[in-house]
Amino acid sequence: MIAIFLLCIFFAVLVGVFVVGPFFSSRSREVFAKTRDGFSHEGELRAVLEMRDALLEKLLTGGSQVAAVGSMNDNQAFEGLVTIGVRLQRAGIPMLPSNMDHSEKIKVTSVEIKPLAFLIAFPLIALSFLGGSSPAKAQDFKAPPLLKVEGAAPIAQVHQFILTPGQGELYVQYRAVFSNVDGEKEATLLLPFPEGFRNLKISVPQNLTMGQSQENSPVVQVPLVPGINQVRAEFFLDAPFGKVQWKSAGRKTLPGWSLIFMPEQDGILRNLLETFSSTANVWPARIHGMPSDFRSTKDRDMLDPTDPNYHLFIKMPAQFTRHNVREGSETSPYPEFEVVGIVPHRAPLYALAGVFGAVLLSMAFVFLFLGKKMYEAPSSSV
Amino acid sequence: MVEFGFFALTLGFCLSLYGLGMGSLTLFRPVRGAVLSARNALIGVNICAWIGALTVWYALLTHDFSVRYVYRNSAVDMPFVYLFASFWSALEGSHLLWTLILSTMVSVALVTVRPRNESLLPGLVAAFGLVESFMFLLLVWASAPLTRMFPSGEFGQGLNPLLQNPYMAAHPPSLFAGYSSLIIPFAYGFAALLRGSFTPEWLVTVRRWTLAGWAVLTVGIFLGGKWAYVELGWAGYWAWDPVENSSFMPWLASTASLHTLLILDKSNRLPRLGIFLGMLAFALTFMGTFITRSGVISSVHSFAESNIGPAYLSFIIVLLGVSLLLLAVRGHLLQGAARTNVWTVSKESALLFTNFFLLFLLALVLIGTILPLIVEAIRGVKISIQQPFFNFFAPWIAVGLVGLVGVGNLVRWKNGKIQDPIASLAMPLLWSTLITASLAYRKGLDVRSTIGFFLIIWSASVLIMDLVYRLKALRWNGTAFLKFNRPYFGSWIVHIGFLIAIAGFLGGYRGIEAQTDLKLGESTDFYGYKLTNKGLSFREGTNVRVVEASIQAIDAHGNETEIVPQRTKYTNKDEWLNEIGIHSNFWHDVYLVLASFDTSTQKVSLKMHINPTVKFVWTSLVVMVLGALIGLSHKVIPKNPGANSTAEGLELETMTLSFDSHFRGSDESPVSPGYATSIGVIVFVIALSIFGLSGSAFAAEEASKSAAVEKVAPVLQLDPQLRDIGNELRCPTCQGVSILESDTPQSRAMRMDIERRLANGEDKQAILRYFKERYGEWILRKPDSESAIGKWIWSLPIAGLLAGPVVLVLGLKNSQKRNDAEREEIARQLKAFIDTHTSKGRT
Repeated sequence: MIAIFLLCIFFAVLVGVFVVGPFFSSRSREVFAKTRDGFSHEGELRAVLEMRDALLEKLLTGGSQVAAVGSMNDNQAFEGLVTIGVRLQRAGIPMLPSNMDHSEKIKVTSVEIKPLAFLIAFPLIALSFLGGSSPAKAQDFKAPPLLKVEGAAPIAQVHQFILTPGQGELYVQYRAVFSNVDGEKEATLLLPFPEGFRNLKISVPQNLTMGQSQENSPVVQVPLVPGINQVRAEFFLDAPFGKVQWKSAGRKTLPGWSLIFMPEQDGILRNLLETFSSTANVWPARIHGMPSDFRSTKDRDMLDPTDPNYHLFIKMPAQFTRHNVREGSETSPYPEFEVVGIVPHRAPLYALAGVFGAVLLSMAFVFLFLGKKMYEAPSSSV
Repeated sequence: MVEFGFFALTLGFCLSLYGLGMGSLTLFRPVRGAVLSARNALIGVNICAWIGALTVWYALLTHDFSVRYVYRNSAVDMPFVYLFASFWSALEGSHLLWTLILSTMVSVALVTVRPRNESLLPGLVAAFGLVESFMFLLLVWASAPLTRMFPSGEFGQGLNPLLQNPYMAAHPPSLFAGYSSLIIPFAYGFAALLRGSFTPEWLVTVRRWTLAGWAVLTVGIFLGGKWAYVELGWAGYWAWDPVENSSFMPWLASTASLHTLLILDKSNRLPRLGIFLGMLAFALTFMGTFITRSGVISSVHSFAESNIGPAYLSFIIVLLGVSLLLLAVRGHLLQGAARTNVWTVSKESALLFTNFFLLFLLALVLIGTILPLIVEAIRGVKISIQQPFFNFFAPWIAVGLVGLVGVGNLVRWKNGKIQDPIASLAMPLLWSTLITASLAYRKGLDVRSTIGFFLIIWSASVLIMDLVYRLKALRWNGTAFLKFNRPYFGSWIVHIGFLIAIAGFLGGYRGIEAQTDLKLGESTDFYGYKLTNKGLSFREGTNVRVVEASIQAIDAHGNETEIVPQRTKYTNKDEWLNEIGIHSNFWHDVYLVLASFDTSTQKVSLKMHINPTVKFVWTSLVVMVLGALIGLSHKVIPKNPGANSTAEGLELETMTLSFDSHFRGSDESPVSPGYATSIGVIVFVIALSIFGLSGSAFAAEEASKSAAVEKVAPVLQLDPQLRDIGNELRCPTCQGVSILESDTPQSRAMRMDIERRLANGEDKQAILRYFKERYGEWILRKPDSESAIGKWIWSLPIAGLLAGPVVLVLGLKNSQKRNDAEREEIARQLKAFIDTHTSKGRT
């Protein structure tokens, strides 16, 4: 997933260069356009004022240097002057030359906006997306004292883990199955969870009592029924960057049947990258490095034309569940492997975009306000 | 890829905020580097939108069901076309599509800013940044199409079967393209108000974009109508549904805006109204989305409901608030606002009254759409305002508009003269009267149709006369005409298209409906057609099973055709849906719905409709869009009164009167005075008029003969009384349709109840009162005129329609008085100044 992150950075940099590029142009400090309320451009305002002066000249002296005005009679000139007066007054410009400040600048800027507000607000907005409660870690697991059982805590003989990749995490459903052959009323059971689990939820009958073994694995006191018993649990493993290591929290062995299932599906990019590296950290997720004593199977053959759903399979991306199964002895090692290709958490993307935006704004404000005196608008008179 | 696409959308949000911030800053500090940086940021936003959109398409086409939107709106067995179109089938995707088109339009607008419009760039960037920030905020927050879903889905839930139709595949993109085009006039209005003035090419740019947006929006609305017509099975294309209304409102506002911009162009008047309508049109584009997404108003389009309605509503308020605030504070600075405001009988006055009718309809539709909500919120009373209410007013507005199309095009600017009135006005009046009277007598047209066709023919004739005179003045040189008069010719075609559309709408109320059951090989006669059941067939598509009925139709002339109504069942919906069988000719549609079938006996039940002049409606779309394209193809020479830079260059009349002397005479008839008609011209116009009329008349003629046909299998036609009453009662469970058009059990029960009560001798009012007492006032499709609220709802529009023109005239006179007072005051001050300085000079 680091590739995606690098791709995002590369793209952001390209866009950033494109956006801030104009600041480095030789004409970047020029005033872009001079405007005046009520007039389409400076030339128009100047022309209107010149016409006003010519009309006034005509009315005051009886003649004008402007030929068109000179040929008017007084009534026509006065009507024209009134029209211009209305327009100038509505534009907020004194209509009579004696009141006009000839050194008036063309309006370029009049309001200073403090850039600090933007600089503060932007990272805050970006950071607001990063909110959320921090997950509880395995180390935070507070449990009552360990229920003492002779020797070590008993452990089930069948362990099923169903791994479901999520966004920035791996969701695991666990099921332990064992037989109560001695007619016990209750037992303390060790749950062989991997290192780093959080948000543990256990579904067992009432009167649940939990603890922690010397091997850092939780133990649970469960009431038993005669015959087959089950303990179900679910927890999460963090995978903020798309990878998660499945390894023991302390326990060295995992005896009995171990079943580790994970849904897999096709992905064009993954298929492409797998030709170069089988450990590519690209969605969809894969288990990598499964111990060799596990046997791996798929739940159905997508290319089997006798399958009644074959016509659907050939149109859809291959989706199936991989079964990793081992019949271990009492000394079988706790399995260690890696799940890669989990969709990473989006917080880094938000942060990257936020940082990028903040950098852009910072550059812009540095350009605008630190070099302020260098591009102050030239004065202009009308 | 999905994460990269999501990052692109997040980055797009940051860039649009940057564009907004820098654009706002450059309003006060317009430094070239900053302005161009903000512009580039908005172009970058478009790149981000494309990456986000391509990612969604990639996820759809590769069935990446870890993306929630893909899982919910597509399936592995969907055909490629609908897989592609499922992009915009629900809220998140349609919002992304809208954003994509909008940001593309923005980019095009930014890179094509003319040098003489460059001073508008800061305002443009701020306006674009504001809108894009809102759109992207939703894309990464409340309406994110790239949200993941774990565990991943497997087969996909598939696309709503009603949306698996070619028209629906094309309808949203065209509608959103129309909506998006309207951001350009909005932004240019925003920028002009901030700038306090127009630029030399402001008007040219805004008119072109408004016209382009109007044309595309027209296509979108018509495609939506066509989808409803061929998919929903109620034999109509327009039901005044809230969402239909919501797409219609920006269309009305942009149409009024186009007319106002023409007034502004030719006489430099109404600059504020022109800007406001452009901004209003864009703000109204969000109204439909609000209604569709919020669920506050029931609609057939409510499949995309979500909880982001308040966000849209807030943004509409922001847009309208900003627009009105700027207009109030800075509007008076715009050129034209200060000029003499004399309105006489003239083309600009005709355009003004055209705007009155358009805006009246806009207000009616707006109020009719949201008033039920307001009444319920304030008084806790549920009411319905549906088709019958709008249909009561629409004909009167159409009469006004059709009348103005003819006369308005003929009269000159300013003085309102009509060149050669006998030839261009009275003669069309004469032959329109003759043709209509003849048709009414021979074909049995009713009064409503007679008046309607008369007005349409007369207006079309006047338009044709106008065109003929212009061509004649150019010595029939078509090349020169097309080279220099394309805007005129384009608008001429658009207005002809409008008249064709009205002729099409006019046939709507004369539709005929019946039902029949046909065994295999059995025939029935319906409206001059012999319909024979040729049997059922079955086929299977990729994700659908189809049962087709083959109905042989032989018309009165022995022409044979096959009509194939269908019932379809999609893999993702356990319900049989209708696919309509239509035989369409220029004069009417034979519209068959396969109501039910029996595969063992091959017996079919058919709902049969004859819909007169429907093809006129679809034809009018082609004509209007063609006209708009011709108008857009003209290279406009920028006109601006302030373009001259010296006093010598300013024409006196420009300064003293209205700044419109550049354009004087451009629209005057080039015909020399005198009696210029010729027999050839008149014959030509009559021939065209007859051609145009014959379709409608043919349809009307056929409407009168349906009762006389020989029946082989019985045809059940609705009792006219039942039809009359049923049309005024809404279906209690479905949206926007009457109990006649609905086939739900409740509607069927209500129809049976009405039949029973009619048989018992109850009259219409008694039956309606019974249903009102049982269901509440809400069951009536139009406001109850006996209730207090109903009286207000009915009386206000009527008063507005009657008194509106008077108020308009009085308002203009009042405005003129204010202007005169202002001029007098300024004249007094100037005179005092001159007197003072003259006396000083003498002393």
